[in-house]
Amino acid sequence: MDEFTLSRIFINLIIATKWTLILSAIAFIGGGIVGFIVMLMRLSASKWLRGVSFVYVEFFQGTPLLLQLFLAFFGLSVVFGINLSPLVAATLALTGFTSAFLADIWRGSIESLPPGQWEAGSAIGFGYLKQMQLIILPQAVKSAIAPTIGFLVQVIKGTSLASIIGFTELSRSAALINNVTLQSLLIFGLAGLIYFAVCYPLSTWSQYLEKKLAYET
Amino acid sequence: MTNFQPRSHSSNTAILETKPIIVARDVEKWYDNGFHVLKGVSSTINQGEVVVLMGPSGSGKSTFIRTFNGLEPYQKGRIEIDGTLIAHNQKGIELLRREVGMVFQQFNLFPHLTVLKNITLGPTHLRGLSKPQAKANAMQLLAKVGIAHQANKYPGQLSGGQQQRVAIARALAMQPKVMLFDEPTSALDPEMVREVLDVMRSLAESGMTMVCVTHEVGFAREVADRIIFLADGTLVADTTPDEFFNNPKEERLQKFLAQILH
Ligand SMILES: Nc1ncnc2c1ncn2[C@@H]1O[C@H](COP(=O)(O)OP(=O)(O)OP(=O)(O)O)[C@@H](O)[C@H]1O
Ligand SMILES: [Mg+2]
Repeated sequence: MDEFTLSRIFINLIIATKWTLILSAIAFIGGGIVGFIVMLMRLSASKWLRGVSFVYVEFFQGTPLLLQLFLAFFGLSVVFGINLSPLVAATLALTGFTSAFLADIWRGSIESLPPGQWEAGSAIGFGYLKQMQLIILPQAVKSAIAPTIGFLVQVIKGTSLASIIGFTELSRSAALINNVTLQSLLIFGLAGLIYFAVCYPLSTWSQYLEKKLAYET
Repeated sequence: MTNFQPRSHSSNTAILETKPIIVARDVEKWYDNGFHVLKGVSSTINQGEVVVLMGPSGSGKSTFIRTFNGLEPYQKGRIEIDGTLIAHNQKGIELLRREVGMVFQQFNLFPHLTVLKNITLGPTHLRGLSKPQAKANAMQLLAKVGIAHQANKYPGQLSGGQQQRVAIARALAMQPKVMLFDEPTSALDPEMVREVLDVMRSLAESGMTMVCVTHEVGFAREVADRIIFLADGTLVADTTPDEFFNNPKEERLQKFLAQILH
């Protein structure tokens, strides 16, 4: 056991980082797809769709991600009588969490466009989805990119909570290695550095884009 | 610079001339806050007619004209466009809107698309035109509004007057049965008002059916067949420009004219 040299610790953490990134990617892709649909519902003309999507967004924004992970992992197994693997449970909770925030970020970008853009599209005869596709989204993307990347940083850090339901990503891996080596400062310090190395460039990029696009408009 | 096809009719098409394009009957509308903005307005606009809509600020001119393409729903009465009802629940409104062109005070061009794409967007997606066809039509329209050389620029690179002329071309590209204008020159610098009014005048001469909210007295006098006067959501007068300006009967209208004619 005392073979846990610095380089082995580091390699183990890097391998676990892979799972942090995979989980982040799943959350982001799943959250992006679901969030896009929720966003369309939030802005639709149907009161019913707006209501459902409103409750969805409020639920995931108004409760802690940790609780959502517990609900997905323990709650769903009670309801459906199946045991979800930590990966599946984390996927569900993180997708819900991410989609709710992305739906709101994107809705904000769309609502910041002048209403005249919708009116001009309507006046020509375009329906809701065509207006979105041809007129609204191409313009909204510009102001959505920076906050979307900024939120990606939150999601990456948020995946650490999946360690609590037994998913071995970077944080849980660090905790496990710490249990054996007891070199807390070194191990958690390294894990922190890895998170930082992933997140910092993204934050910087997001800030850069925000400034750049602000100048352009 | 602007010349649309001149009205091609002989005297025996007079019957066609009275074909109603917009029929509004007792139109009533309340805004969500309960404000009774249109209190039973009726009017018929015939094919080829140019009707100017005037009235004090807040009288409901924009609201009324926007009910003609369903941008504003209404609650009571009946509006028909070329015989098709605009239902209160706005069912089927998208098909109807293709037949009604609209030009806004703020132009509302699509800033992410070139002038040319602004114009071809509707015809390619909604009228089934091929891209080359739509482009050829668009270039013709741009020539008519006098800005063919700007086709590949973005709206932000054009002056207000040029943008508004693009907006007119964009609406015309759908080959509408009627054109609605809501204060098309109010957001323009004075030196650009003329170029837009010239386009509208030439469009009127080509026989287009037009409904224009405008404060441009010269345009109303010279181009309008009829002037409708709205005040407080009620139609106060519907008469010829000559009667309107030179022999106004209604007290409310006299007061209004005293204000705008100084
Ligand atoms: N969405 C809305 N909700 C409530 N009231 C509204 C709304 N839109 C307009 N109104 C009110 O309805 C009235 C008529 O508005 P409208 O824009 O049709 O007037 P207008 O004749 O076009 O005026 P203007 O010459 O200033 O353009 C105004 O008193 C306005 O404040
Ligand atoms: Mg108005």
